[in-house]
Amino acid sequence: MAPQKHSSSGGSHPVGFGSGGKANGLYQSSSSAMAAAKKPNLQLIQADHELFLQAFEKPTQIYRFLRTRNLIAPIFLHRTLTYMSHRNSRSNSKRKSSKVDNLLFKVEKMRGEQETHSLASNLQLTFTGFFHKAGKPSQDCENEQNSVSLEVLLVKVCHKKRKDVSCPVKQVPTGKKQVPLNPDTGAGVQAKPGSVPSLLVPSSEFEPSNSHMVKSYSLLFRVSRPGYPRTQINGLTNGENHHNFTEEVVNRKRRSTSIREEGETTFVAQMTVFDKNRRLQLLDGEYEVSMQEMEECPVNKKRATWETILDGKCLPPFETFSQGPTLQFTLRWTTDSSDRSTAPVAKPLATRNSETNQEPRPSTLRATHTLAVKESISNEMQTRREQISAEPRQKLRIFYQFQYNNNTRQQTEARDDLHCPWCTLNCRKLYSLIKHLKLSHSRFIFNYVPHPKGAKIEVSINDSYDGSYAGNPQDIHNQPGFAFSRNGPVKRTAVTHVLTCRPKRTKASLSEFLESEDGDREQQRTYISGHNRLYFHSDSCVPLRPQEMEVDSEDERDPDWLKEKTAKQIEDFTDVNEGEKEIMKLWNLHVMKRGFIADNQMNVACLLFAEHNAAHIVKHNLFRNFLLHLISMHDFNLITTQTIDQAMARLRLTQSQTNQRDREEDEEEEEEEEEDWETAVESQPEPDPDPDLDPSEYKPCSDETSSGAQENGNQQQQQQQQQEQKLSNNGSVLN
Amino acid sequence: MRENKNMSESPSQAGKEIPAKKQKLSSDENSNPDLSGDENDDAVSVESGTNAERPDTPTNTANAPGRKSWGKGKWKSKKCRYSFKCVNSLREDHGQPLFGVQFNWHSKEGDPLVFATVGSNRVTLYECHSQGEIRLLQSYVDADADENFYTCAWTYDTNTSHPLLAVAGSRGIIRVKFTRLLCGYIQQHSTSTCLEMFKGHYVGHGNAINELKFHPRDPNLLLSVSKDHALRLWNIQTDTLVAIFGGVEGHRDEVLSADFDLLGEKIMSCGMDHSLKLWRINSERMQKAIRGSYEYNPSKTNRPFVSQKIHFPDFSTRDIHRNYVDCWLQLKLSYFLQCDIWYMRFSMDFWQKMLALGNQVGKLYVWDLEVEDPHKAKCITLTLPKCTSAIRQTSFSRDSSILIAVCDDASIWRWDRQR
Repeated sequence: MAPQKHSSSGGSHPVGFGSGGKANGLYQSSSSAMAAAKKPNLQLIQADHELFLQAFEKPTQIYRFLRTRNLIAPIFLHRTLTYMSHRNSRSNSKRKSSKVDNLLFKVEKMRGEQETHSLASNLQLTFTGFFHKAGKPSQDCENEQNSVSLEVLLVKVCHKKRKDVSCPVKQVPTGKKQVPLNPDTGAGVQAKPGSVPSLLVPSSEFEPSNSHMVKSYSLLFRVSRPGYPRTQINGLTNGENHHNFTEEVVNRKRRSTSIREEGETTFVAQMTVFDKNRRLQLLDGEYEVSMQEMEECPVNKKRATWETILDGKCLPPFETFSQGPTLQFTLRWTTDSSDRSTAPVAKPLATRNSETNQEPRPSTLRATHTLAVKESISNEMQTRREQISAEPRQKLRIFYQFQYNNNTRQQTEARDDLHCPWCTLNCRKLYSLIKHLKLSHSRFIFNYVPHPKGAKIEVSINDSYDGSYAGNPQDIHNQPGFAFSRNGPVKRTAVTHVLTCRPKRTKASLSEFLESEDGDREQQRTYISGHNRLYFHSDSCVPLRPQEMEVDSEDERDPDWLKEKTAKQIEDFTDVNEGEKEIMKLWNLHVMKRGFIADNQMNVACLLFAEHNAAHIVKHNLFRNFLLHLISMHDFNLITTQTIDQAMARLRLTQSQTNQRDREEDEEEEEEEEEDWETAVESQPEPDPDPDLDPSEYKPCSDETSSGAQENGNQQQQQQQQQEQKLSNNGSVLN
Repeated sequence: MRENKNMSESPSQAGKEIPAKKQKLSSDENSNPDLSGDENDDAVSVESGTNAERPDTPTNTANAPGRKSWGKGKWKSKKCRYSFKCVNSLREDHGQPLFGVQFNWHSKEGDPLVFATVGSNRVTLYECHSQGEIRLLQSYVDADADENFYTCAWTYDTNTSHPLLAVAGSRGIIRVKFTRLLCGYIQQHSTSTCLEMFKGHYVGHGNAINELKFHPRDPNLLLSVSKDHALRLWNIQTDTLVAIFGGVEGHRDEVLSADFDLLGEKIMSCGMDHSLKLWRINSERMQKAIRGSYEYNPSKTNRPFVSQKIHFPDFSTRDIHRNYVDCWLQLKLSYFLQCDIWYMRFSMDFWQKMLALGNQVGKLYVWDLEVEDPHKAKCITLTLPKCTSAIRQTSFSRDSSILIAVCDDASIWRWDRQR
C-alpha cells in the first residue's frame, strides 16, 4: 500500500457522504486526532480536504441521487437479492394451503371484521409493558422500580370555529394504570393474565359530540417514570435526531403538552384512532409505540426548521424499537364492554427478541410509528432470523478507509452499524454489506480487510469504471435532452436483460472478499456481451432491430436500380429495333441475376433463359430476335448448335402450348360468336390466326432481318430455320 | 416550390410542362439582361463544383461584397397592397444563427398563434399575442451540444390531433416532438415524462438534414432532405422509412430543399448540384409503399419494412439555375438582393399570395403574387436599422397577419400586417 497520511482535521468533515455529525457513531480515528493536535496546518488541511472532495464528491452525489430515486421509484427490492435474503421476511408457508376459491371468502371475512369496528364498539387496550433500556443493565432497573404510571387520554380535535385561532382540542382522560417496566417477555406475562393492566374506552366517546363537531380522535399515552436521570437519555445515540425525525414523519403526534413533575420523566406518544375523514386508523392487533421524552419546552411549530435526515445522522424509524422507550399493548374493538376477562394475553413481540429490525408490513404502514407483528411467523423464518442475528450480536465496527490522490492519502471513518454509507441501506450482515458495496457502488473499489474489532474496508476510486452508455442500444438515439428534466439527470435508459447465467453459487463467506491471486476475475466484467451495440441496415442506414438480424440486406447482385438503369440505357440505343432491345434487356437482366461470368457457362445460360423467358418471348413475339441472338452467340463460339436446337425446341413447346390454349379460347369465342352472329358466319373472314401478334407493343423482327442473319449462319441453322418456318406455318403464328 | 401547383393542376405530363416553365424563367432573365452571366456567377458556380471551398455548414456567412442593388428602386416604385410594421423583436440567448421559423398552421381557430424557431441545439416555441407581444412557451435543448437544428415542420397527431413538431439538423436525426403545452394537455408528472415528450426519432440519414416538410394531405408523411444527397419519406405513425429518393440519377450534391405540390402527388427537390428533380409519389409503386407503411407493424413481424429506393427521378433539369438552389425562386432573386450565402429560405403565406424573403443584410422583401404576370409581382422592402444580419427564414401566420423573420444573430423579428 502506498504511504498513508491520516487526515489531520479534528472536526467532522462535511465530506462526500455527509457524515455530518458523530451522532450515529462516526468517529474519527484516534491517530488523526493526534495528528491534528500536533500541527494544525490549516492550509494543508484544506488542500487535503479539496483532494478528498475531488475524489469522492461526484460519485457520492451520484449514489445519493440513485438512492433517493430508488426509494421513490424502486427498480428492484433489495430483499430479493440473494445476498440480502435475510431482509425478506415473507414466507411462502401459506402458499400451499391457499386456494383461489378462498379469496372471496377471505375478503368478505375481512370486510365483515372491519364493519364491526364501527363507532358502536368499545376500544379495549391491554398493556404489556413499558420498555426502556436506557443503556442500563436490566438488573439495576429491577432494583429500582418495576412499574411506571401510564395515563391514557383521548384527544378530540374539533372543527375550527370562526373565532378560534387554532382547532379546539379536548382531552378526555380515560384512566391511569400502572404498567410493568421492562417485563420479562418470556414468562412473566403469561403467568398472571388477570394482572395485566387494561383500559376500556367506551364507544360513547367516539360518538359525535353535540357541542363541537369532532374532526379526529387520537389516543395520547403519557408515561411518567419517576426518578429517572435525564442526562442519560441524551447520551443515547439518537435522542435528538429521533426527535426531529418523528416531528417530520408523524407530526400529528404530540400535539399536547404535559407538565413534567419534579424528578420525573414523562414520555408521550400519540396515535390516531380516527382521522379527519373519520377513517379508522387502528385495527385490532398488537402495537408497540415508540415514546418520546417530553422536552422542557414544547416544540413550537414556528421554530421548526428543515433538516436533512438522510445523511446518516438519524436512525431509521424502526431502530428505536430495539432501544428507545416503547410501550406495548394490545388493541381490540369489542362490542361487549363487560367482558374484560377475555382480553387476549399479549404475546412477546418478535422485534424484542432480535436486535435486527423488522421490515414494515403493509398493515402497519398506516400508523407510521407503530409496529404490529402478527403471530404467525413460521418456524422457518424464526430459525433463519436467529441465525442471522447470531452474527452481529456483538457490535461490529467498520472502518472505512478512503484512499485518494493516487492512493497516497487516506481518511478513516468508523461506523458502528452495517448501513451502507451511500444509501443508508441496513445490510445487517457484514457479508451483505460488502457484497452490496461491491455490486452497487462500482464507481469505487472496495477492499475488505479483517479487523479484530470488525472489519476494515478500503475505499478507492475505480478508475476503470465504464460510465459509457450501457442501456438498450436500440434507444441510443432516443436520448432526448434531459438537461431540464424535472426528475433530475437521467442518462441511461432503464433496460432489463433476461440473464440465463447460472453460475455455481458458492457459500456466502467473507473469505471471498479477501484479495486473492485472481482478484481481477470479478472486476467489472459485463455479463451482456456480443450484440450490445446498434447495427444498421446497409441499404437504408436505418437502425436494425435485433430480430431483423437474420435478414440479409446486403444482397446486391441485381439491385432494382441496376435493372432499371440497364433497361434505360438499352432503351436509349438508336441503332436497334424494339424487339432487339427487348431481348437485350431480358438477356442482360438474366445474366445479371444468375451471375454468369464465363464463356463456358453460356450454353447453360441460354437454356435457362429459354426455360424462364419462353412465355414472355412467345407472348411478345420475340421468337426471331432470340434466335438471332443465339446465332450471334454461336458466331462467337460461345454456344453449340445443339444448344440452339434445345433452346428453340423449348420455345416451340411453349409456343405450341400457347397456341393450343389460344385456339381453344378462340374456338370458344367463335362458338359464342356463332350463336350471336349465325347469319354472318359465312361472310366473315377467317379469324385472325395470330392473336399474339400485337403490333402496338413490339415490332417483331421482319423476315428480312432474320434472313440477313441467316446468311451468316451455317447450313444447319438454315435447316433449322426451315423447320421452324414449317412449324410456325403449322402453328400459323408467324407471317 | 409551391409553384408546382400549376403543374399539378394541369393534366399534362411534367415533361411537357417543364420546358414552358423554363421558358418563363429564361424570358425573365431576358427582361433583366443585366443579371445574367457575369463573372461573379461563374466564379460562384465553379466554387460550388469543387468541394474544397464549400462552406461546410450553413453557418458560414460569407461576406461577399455587397452588390449594387440596382433593381431595388424599380421594385420599390411599384405599389404594393400590403404594408407591414415591425412590432417586436427579441433575441435568443445562445447567440447562434436561427435557421428556421415555422408557424403552426394546424392550430384551431381562435387559438393563439404559435411558432417555433430552431437554431443551435435548441427548439423554442413562442406564442404571438396582440400588441406585438411574443410569449415564450417552451424550449427544448438537445442533449448533444454539437447538434445544430436547421429546420422544423409542424404537423399533428392523427389520433389525438395534438400538434407535433419535427426538428432536424446537423446530426441527421429527426425528432418528432409533442408540444403538449399547446394542446393544454399537461401530462401527469411521471418518471417517463421525458421519453414521452417524443413521438419518434428517425435515424438513417448519413448527414445533416437541411429541410423537413410534411405532406399536404397526409400529416403522417414526413419528407426529409439531407446533405447525403438523398431525400427520405417517413411515415411517422408507424415509424417506417417509406422511400429513399436518390442514388444513380439522384442529386449529385447536397439536397437543400424540397417540397410537395399542393395535392401531394409529387416532390420537387433542389440542391447544390444546381438541379431540380421531380419525384412522383402518386405512382403505383409509391402508393403501394405508402399503403404498406401503414400496414406494417413491427411488433408482429420480424422482418424489416422494405423501403423503396427510388433512384430515378421522373424529371430532372440543370438548365434553370446556375448556382445552388435553395428554393425555387431563390437564386434568381439573390442576384438582386445580396444573397450570396446559401441556405436562405423564403416563405409563402397559406394562400400563396405573398412571398417573403430576407437577405444577407437584414432586409426583408415581400412580394404580392396575386398578379397575372409573375414579372409584375409587386414588392415591398422592409428594413430596420437594427436588423442587419442575414435573415435565414421567414414565416407567415396562417391568416398572414404576422410575419416572423429569424436572423443569424439569434434575433426574431415580428412584423404585423397593417390593414
